[in-house]
Amino acid sequence: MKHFILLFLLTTSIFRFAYCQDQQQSLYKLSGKIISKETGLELPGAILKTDDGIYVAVTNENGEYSLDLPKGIHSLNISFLGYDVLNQKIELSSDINQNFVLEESGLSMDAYEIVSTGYESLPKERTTGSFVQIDEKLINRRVSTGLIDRLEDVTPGLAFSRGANSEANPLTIRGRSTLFGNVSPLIIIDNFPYDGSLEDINPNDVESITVLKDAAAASIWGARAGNGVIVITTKQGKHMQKNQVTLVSNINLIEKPDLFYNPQMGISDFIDIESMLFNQGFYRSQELSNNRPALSPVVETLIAERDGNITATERDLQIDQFRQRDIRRDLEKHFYRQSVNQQYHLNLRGGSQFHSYSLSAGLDRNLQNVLGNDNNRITLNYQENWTALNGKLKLGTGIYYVKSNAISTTSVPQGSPYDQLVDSDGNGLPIYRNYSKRYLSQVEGSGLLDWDFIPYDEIGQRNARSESQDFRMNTSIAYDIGKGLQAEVLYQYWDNTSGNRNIRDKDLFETRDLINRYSQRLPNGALDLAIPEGSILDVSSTKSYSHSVRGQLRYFREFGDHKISSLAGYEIKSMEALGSQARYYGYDDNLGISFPVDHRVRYPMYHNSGSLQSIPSGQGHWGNIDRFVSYYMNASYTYANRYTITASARKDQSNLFGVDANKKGVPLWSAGAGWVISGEDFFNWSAVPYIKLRATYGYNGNVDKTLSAMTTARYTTAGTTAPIPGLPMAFIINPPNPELRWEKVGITNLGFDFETKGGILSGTFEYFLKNGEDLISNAQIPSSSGVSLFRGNFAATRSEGIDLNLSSLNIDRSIKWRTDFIYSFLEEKVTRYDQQATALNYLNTSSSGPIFPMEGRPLFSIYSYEWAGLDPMTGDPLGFIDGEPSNNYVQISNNATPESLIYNGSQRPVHFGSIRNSVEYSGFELSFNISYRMGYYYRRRSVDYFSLLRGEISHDDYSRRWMQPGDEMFTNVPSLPENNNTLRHLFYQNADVLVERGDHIRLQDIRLSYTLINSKKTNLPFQRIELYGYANNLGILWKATDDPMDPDFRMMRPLRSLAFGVKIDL
Amino acid sequence: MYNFINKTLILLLFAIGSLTSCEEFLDAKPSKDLVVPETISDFRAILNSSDMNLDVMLTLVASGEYYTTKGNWDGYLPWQQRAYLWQEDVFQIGDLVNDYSFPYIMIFNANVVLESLERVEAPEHELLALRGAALFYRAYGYYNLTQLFLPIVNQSSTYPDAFIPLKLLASITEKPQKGNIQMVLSQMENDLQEAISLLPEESTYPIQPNKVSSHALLARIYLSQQQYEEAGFHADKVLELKSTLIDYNEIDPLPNFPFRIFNDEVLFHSRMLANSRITRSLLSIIDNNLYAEFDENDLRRALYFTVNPAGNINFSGSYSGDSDLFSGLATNEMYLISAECKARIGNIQEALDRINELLRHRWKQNTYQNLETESGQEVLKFILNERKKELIFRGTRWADLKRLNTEEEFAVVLNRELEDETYTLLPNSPNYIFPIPPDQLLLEDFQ
Repeated sequence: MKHFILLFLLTTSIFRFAYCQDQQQSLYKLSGKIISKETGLELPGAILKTDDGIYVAVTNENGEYSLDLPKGIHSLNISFLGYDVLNQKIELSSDINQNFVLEESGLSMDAYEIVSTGYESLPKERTTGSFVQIDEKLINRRVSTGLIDRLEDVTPGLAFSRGANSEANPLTIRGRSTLFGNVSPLIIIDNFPYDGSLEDINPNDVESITVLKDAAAASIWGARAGNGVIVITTKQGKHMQKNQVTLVSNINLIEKPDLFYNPQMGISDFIDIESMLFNQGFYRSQELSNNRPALSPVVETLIAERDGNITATERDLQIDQFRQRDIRRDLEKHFYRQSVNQQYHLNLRGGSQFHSYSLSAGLDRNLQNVLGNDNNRITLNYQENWTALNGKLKLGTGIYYVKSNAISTTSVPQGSPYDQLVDSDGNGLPIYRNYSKRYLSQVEGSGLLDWDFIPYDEIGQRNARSESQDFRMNTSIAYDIGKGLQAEVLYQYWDNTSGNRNIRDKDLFETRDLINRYSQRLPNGALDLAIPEGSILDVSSTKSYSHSVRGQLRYFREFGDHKISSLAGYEIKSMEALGSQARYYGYDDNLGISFPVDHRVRYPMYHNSGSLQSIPSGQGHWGNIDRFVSYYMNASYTYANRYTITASARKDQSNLFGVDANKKGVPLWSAGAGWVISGEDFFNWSAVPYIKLRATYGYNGNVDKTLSAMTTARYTTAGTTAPIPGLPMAFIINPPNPELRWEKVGITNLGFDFETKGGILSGTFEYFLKNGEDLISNAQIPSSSGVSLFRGNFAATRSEGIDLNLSSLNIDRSIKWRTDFIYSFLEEKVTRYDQQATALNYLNTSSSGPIFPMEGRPLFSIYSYEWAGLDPMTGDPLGFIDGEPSNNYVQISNNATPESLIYNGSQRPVHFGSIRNSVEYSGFELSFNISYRMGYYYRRRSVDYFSLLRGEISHDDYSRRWMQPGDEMFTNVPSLPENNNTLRHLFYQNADVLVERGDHIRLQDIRLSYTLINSKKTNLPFQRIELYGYANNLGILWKATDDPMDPDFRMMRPLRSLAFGVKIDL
Repeated sequence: MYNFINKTLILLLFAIGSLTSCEEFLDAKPSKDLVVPETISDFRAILNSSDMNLDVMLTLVASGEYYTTKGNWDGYLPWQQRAYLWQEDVFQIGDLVNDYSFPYIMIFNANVVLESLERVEAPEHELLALRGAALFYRAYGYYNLTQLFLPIVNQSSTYPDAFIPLKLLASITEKPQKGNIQMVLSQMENDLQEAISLLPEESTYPIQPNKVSSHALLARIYLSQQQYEEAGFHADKVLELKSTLIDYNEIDPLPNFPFRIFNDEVLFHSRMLANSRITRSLLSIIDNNLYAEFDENDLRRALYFTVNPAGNINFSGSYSGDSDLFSGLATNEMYLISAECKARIGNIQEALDRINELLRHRWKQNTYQNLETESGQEVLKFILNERKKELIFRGTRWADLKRLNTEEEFAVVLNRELEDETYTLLPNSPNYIFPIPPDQLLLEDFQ
């Protein structure tokens, strides 16, 4: 963001420069270069002025300045952002050529940093709100295709949640102040909310990211800013900058998924369970079922032996073979591979006094970890800015184009744990998932298509392609009316076309299966194919576009000690998306023909005539319209560079469905104050030259657009099994709620910034309090209302916390050692929630199912049953009834009330942050990030007897189960029950013995780079080259639990990756 | 130049500003598939929704028409397990009881339509027909609840506290009345009488009600309340308008499910809430003795049942054409109602004509011997037994048991075994009346 201040200074100085030249005196020319001591490079845009401020010069793109001064002794003041100010006296009696060398100021530039709120850029000094700025260097520290994960561990208060209910929206800023509303932060790119997919943003195009965390964010960004705002600024050309070419190339290798990460019970143990279940008659109903479900190889073998088709010896031989197998070995060997992500990026930029540009092109090629599945991304980006009319008129335009595509040719099969996919000669083997082997051999030779599924033969045989083209164009025009008033109009057009085309070849099992199921046996014995032979083609496309226009007036005036800066404006936005999909049967890709089928007739399924289904039409249509109209104003007043007050207000209106016009909008406001204590005369502490206090208070908003104040119905057409397929039906999804209104979040933010001399220690400390009001939540409503769910503004939440950010320069010599420390504390709780759920609802939080908030507790909490150990005689898990250990699970479950459960704690980290150390020495830089998360709990997985006794393989804790009296001394894993007992299983699964602390510290990543800067000595063909290596997901350093799994990644551990790259500035 | 730019800028700002004055800009529908129901086709679509053709399932689970194994019973939901064993306190806190909530969805949808039609502009006859349909559905929903949660009128003094929430408005904040059987019954009568006057004789699809099916529902309701004269009257009304019976000789017994959906006997299509372990399970086994009651020449023996590979007898005679259980209204039920009511009011010959007509269509050609007798009691007994056989797995047995148990000669003691334990449901047991799920009762705020 340096260039914003630069631009500002440049334009003002040019103006003054011109003014000065009017004075006709005898002047001498002082000229030369301003050079960086550290890099030896010329500094374009450095400012040189006389102490009285009358004579000013700015260096050009070659770092050259020239200043005409009257004869005499002048006290010069030479400054450049990020460098110590140089004061030098010079005596002038003739033209002089003099170079000045500036020294980098102790790295930290916090106080001078310019923050971009997306609407305006301000020196941080004059802000009162909570902003975090991530600069280009930090953004590029990580190597990844996507942008957003690069914010992790470098942004205080920002967390990626992993666990329940976090898959869709993992990113939270200062917790979650909504229950059912939208939970994603608002993303702003280059002044406008971004409508496209985050995957389309090339991180190399990004110059800086600002995260806005408090109420000031909302009154700037409005109702959708309730979850925080991430403002992304892409690279811009700079005025007075030499043409510069930057080339980035890297390759990232990510290891194969670890299929053995989840401790799975021994195959042999599992086969014993299957045999036992078989002997109990468990598989009988499936064996007899008209639906012909597949049974596992062991069960089929046992059936074959029972029916006398094989001998007992053959049976035992086969089963012994199964014991040796493991499908995960075959999957790892034949279906998975190391992912390889390649990234190339080229950027050209530069600028003259009146014009600047930036052009970049990026290419990403990713080979995913499943064989034959790839995706690519091409990004093109062009921006230009002009100034005219003596800097009064500024024009800007940018065009961004992203084309991405993905192809998937392989899908990973699901099989029995000991299915074999490939035989010893390398031939694919069939597995049975949809139909039993018995049934398939029965229909063999009946004229149907081959009904075997051989996953190995289908590797690389799929053809599912998706493609997206994203186009964004924006223009801006700003005109300086004079007297500090500036008018500005900005416009953005965004257009995205995405489509999928999936040809399921006629030879794929999926296609053959569908054709066979719908085959009809005619009375004469012939087969009538309701679905014609041939491939099946699915196509879908979505076209989205949006227009955004903003008109605003800015006012900036500085007189004496007073600075007033304000802006007011008006914004209007409309986004529409329209899409449809279709399916074609009997498709021939060579000829481009397909055959019509009848979607309205229900056919008996070939394998189960009791099931009547129409042919899936694959048709669908969707469309959305989002509209916003907003009015906003924003003002700040600074006195004597010490006292700042800010205020902002905004009103947003949206096309909320069926809502009265007066409730479509929400007024939001914020107010703040800042005090630079170090600017006071009484402040005389030279060790700490910068201290600032600031505070804001105000309101953010949020909305759930699926709700409506009126009775709302959703249309659909009857499905394939309905009596009349295709009949239009409407389901009432929302009963009327005339009281519906926007959610509001009141936010208080108190901040403290400081920096010690030379930037040795600097930091920011913030306290925040967020009160969510009128939050949309479920109300408990009797079934007799006919509505299963009623949502309204019934809930409230309170989140309180601290963000701390410290940077220290521990050693500052030829070797430099820096430490950046981030700590966030977050305490969230629901303060009002009328609906009391059952104890079981609160316990059952491990899935991504519905949320059950409880008053006084965090939204995501872990509850459990009190554990009384294992019964020494039976190995039954014991709970408590009236204080006595008991295995009466019916009573335990019936007696449990939400109050009687143990509350273990939050499911999401309460303390989290990171420590990043970087050491620089003679061009080498080593940095590593250690992240930590504390104060939260999770439910570890253990053997699930309920599933096991239904024939599903379970957890390896089975091998540690109680087997004989005395085992309870060293195990907590219950014995295998004689009967499948749901309540016993539910008790154990929800007992506090399985609740683990999630606290851990991990070594997130290490980055090593070597930078070489061209100098006269080296004389290289480039200005600067950086070579780097980056290793990510290195592992856990410490964790509180002895559970072997990673507390945050319990399905698949984070895969280690190693990247190498180069960045060249020509 | 400066002026020019100033002017254009201000003009531009102004132009954008004037855009918002159009209120319509913010009235755009946020999603295509969402609608605030306003037009007659919206309300038709609501009544066409698949929620509107469902019946409760406990009538099958508890009526003793089948038995199952312990292994299969283990897979039932807890309330289904308890209902199967006729236990007290069938529902417990936390049970999600579809049999209670689904009829109310039907009632809610009907109420929404009934309240909104006044505001809809459409031809008068279409509006009236839609009103008739909504009234039918509301009565259909309440009849489903009546079967499970309310006693029959004649026993209402024994269960003074038996009631269900009686909701006649769509508003979810409206406090419902405590509806006892008399109130609910008179509401159903009123709704159906009006529906009969409004609905046409034919509907486009058999999933939609018409005049005939409204008479049929009313006949079924009166029969369940032992009002035999009225029941007979409406059953005869149905048969006047539509008396088709399928000759089972024309049905191919080979397919697993021999009957077509929407066949000629169907008056109103509806199916039981499905549970794969109950309504579709090969382990929902028909008792051998019941099976044995079907004569070798009775075609229903082959069409209604299949003997699965394990030797168990399963029901396969659903009028849905597949493994869904048809529980709607059909002409065969009307023959049985008519016959029974005629027998009960002493019209023996007409009763015999009805039942013989039905059975001639059920037996192999020329094998059925018409029942001829003067004994009213013998006819009634015969008809009731044929009713049990003809309407097996249609969900009607539970209501029949409730009313027949009040007559000593027809009272039935139900027994079943599970894991060596025997469970019994005695005639007129309080367990015939299911309690309202307890958490629902806690939530209700009655008038």
